[in-house]
Amino acid sequence: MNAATATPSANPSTTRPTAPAPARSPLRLVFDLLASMKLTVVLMGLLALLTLTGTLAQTVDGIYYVQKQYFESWGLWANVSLGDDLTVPVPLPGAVPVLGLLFVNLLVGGIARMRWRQRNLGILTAHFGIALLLVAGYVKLSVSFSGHLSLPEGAIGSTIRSFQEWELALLWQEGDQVFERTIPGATIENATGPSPVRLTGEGLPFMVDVSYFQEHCTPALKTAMFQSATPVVDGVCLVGDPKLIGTWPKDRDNRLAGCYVQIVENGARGAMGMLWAPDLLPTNVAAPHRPWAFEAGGRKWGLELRHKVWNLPYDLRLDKFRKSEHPGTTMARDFSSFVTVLEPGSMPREAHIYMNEPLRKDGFVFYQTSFGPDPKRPGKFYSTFEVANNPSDKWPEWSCYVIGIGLLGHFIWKLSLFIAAENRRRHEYEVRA
Amino acid sequence: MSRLRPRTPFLLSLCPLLGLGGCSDQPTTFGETKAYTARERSVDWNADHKTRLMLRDAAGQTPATPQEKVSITAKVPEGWEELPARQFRDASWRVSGSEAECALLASVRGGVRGNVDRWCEQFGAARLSDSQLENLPKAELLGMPAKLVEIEGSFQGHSGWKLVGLITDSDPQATLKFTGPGDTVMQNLDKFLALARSLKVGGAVNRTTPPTPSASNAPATGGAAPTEQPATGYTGDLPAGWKQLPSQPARFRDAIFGVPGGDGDCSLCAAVGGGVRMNLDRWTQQFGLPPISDDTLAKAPQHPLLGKPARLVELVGTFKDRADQMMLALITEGNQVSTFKFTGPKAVVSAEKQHFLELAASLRQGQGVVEMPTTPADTAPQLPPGHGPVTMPVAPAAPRFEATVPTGWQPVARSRKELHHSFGADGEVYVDALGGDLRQLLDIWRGEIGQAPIADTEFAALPKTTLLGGDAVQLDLTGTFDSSSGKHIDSARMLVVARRDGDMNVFVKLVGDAAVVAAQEPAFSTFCSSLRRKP
Repeated sequence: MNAATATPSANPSTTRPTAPAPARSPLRLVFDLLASMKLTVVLMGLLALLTLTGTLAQTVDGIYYVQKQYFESWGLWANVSLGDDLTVPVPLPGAVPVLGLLFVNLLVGGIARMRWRQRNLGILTAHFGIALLLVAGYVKLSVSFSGHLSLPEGAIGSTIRSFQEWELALLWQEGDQVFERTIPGATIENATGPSPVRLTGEGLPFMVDVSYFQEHCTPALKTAMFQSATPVVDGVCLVGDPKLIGTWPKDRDNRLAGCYVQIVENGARGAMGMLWAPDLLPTNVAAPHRPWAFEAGGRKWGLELRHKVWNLPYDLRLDKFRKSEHPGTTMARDFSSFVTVLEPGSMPREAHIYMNEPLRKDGFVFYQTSFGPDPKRPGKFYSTFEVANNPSDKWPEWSCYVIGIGLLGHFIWKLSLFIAAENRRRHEYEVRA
Repeated sequence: MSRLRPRTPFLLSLCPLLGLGGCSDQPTTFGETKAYTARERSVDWNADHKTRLMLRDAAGQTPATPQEKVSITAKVPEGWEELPARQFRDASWRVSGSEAECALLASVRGGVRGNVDRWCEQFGAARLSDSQLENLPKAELLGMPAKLVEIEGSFQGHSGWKLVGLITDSDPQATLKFTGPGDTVMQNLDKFLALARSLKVGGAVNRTTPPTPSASNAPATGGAAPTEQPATGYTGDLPAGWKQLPSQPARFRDAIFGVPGGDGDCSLCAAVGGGVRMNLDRWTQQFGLPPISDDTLAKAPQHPLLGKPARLVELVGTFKDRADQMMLALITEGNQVSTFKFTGPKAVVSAEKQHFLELAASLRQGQGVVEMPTTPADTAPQLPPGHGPVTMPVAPAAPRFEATVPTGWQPVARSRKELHHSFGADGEVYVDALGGDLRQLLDIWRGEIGQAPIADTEFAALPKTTLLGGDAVQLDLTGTFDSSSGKHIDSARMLVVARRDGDMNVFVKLVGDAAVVAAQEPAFSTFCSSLRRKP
């Protein structure tokens, strides 16, 4: 409550000087700032700017990198083009602090500061809906994951592969069981030169030095035609130089990472291998894992650079893939997959997955994404599903309902007030008449 | 109005959600062990190098073996011995009974400066200045002028060693290094230079690319320059200004060619799945164009590719966000198709179309007939030391045939076809040799003149004649001529005499206006009967 409203004005003609406003506490200042409508406007403006610059940047850098740089970061330098040859770097906050502040602003200004009275019920409800939308985004950012599952007709699979995240997997086999220990790709992505990143593991009789990581490269036979910037192993080297292999694909989904590994056993450097991750290429649909094998501690081990994998708690079988085409062309009009969920202890469950009609099962959502010719069986196809595990999958939908209900309630409330006022005026007019 | 509920507990309950975006260091230890059944983790423990790295099994796509390198001939100096082939050396020799060795790399990258700097570094010697590098004495290597470098120092733990190296100023470079104890090297310097002069590239080549002298520094020997050869199993006669780049078999680019100016991408993808339709649709989609119908494709001109008939597709549009782009693509038929594509700015692709088609026709796998003429070092005039560069254009491959050319036929300049002559308004005749199946070639030629593939009975009944001392078939076709290079003759006649010659098909082809060809028929017959191999 400020001084102006606290001062009684019994006599408007009185010219008594008003008392100076009492100093606000720092906590109150922060509270007022966070509840400020001006802050809301600034944050919305920044979001609009981020969306605009991020959208433009996607044409150059691809979706993955822009998403990381603009929408999953704390800050960035956005390159704003002012002409064909002039680009100016502009500092911008990332979407994480902007949306975080917006969430706080919404809570403090839109929910906490607002009087919780019946007349505000609609607005409060709408603000709850917006808060839920922001929370859904945060949950998705924090805990969700998605990948893809590609299956040729008749094949059964349960392994989801990430579109963009790599991992280094150490495998070994005992009897019919395959054991696996993994390490995130981000650990080794900075080992781009000869200086290795050393990987260890509890109980492992060796260490692994990873070097020359390249986000996109191709194995090439080393000939006298070119000098290799990377080691040559068995006559082959990983070539990532765009001058030799062409411009890198814009999107990370299409990049084929590679690196060199060297085993260090009892302090001595041992075998050197070359790892490459072409597992997303169509030719590798349903292909087995093919690690670089080596022996250490009297056992055979394998190292594999691959896109991050998850295993579903059940199997999916592609029974039939169906595609219809536009008349007179081979362009797909629509395509869909008939699948069966095979879960131990349960009856097989058949499902038809097609555009905008995913299969939902135990928190996983299977979307029909693409298809391609089965490389092993001419005339047949494989089908690709994007598989997402997102606890907040439906929250945006629910938040839309909440926002809609809130706004509708508010409008109805305002309308009823207006109608009541009109009735009152009409009644007064009739009385006067 | 009454308050609905206290606000504070609500605020507090949502506060934990504000822990956004915390950073964490990536672990450098492998995570916990997870067990999978063999079905859940199907592992191929025995996948070999090639399978694991998707190095396909075509020729030239397995790791290099010394036996497959450039075939080098040399006069080994007296008192020297040739060493067994080693990886990344095209040939090497040693002064008998000593540690002094001489190694030839027929094709290396890095430039003169890069290589010389590396040598200096290996010997712990100071880098040469630009003027020192420029004023190095000249000698000859593989028929090209080369700079002679002398470096003294400590090499691999040996002090007092010396390197005498020759490096050509070509792209790529060729080097001949002579390394050993300083006195041994100096005593054998004359023999080293004689060896360098005697070196010749010869025989079938299927892997390493000997360098091509650049136009500015080729020796004025009067001989043809060595033809650039590919690093993979696919070879072709490179048009002037084109060069072959390292193949990317894992990316289905079995041969890659650089075009003049570098603004264009040309690559061969041999025998892959997907079929014609899938490839065509992908290309048209990339260019933002409607799909090509089967009828349109059937009417597309045919052109040989890897010895098979291929359809030529031309697309113009926006490609990879760049406007005014053009693609020329040749695609063979069937499920396992081979494609040869050339993509780039329309102006570049249009200008190089003829070269692209010629290169396509000459593409072959592995040890095709590759002629690498070099001037014999013994007879070539030698450039004096310090002689400046002499300009000479890159010459096409040396002719393999000769014949009596009828009067009235005009030689076609700068053609890569042999004995290429023109007559009348648009008539032409030439000799060529292509791989593949003869009957498929016949079908291509029939296609050019609008006729269906030849039937078995027709093929069996083709008139026979003699060409180069062997049985040949004759083809006499009339119709509308449309070649893949864009040549069009409404009322055309084509005469072809062709025969199998080893792995190749040698043929003489004449095409032109039907009336003019009729007048040239006797001349054509005389020309064919006079055709002979050049000694």
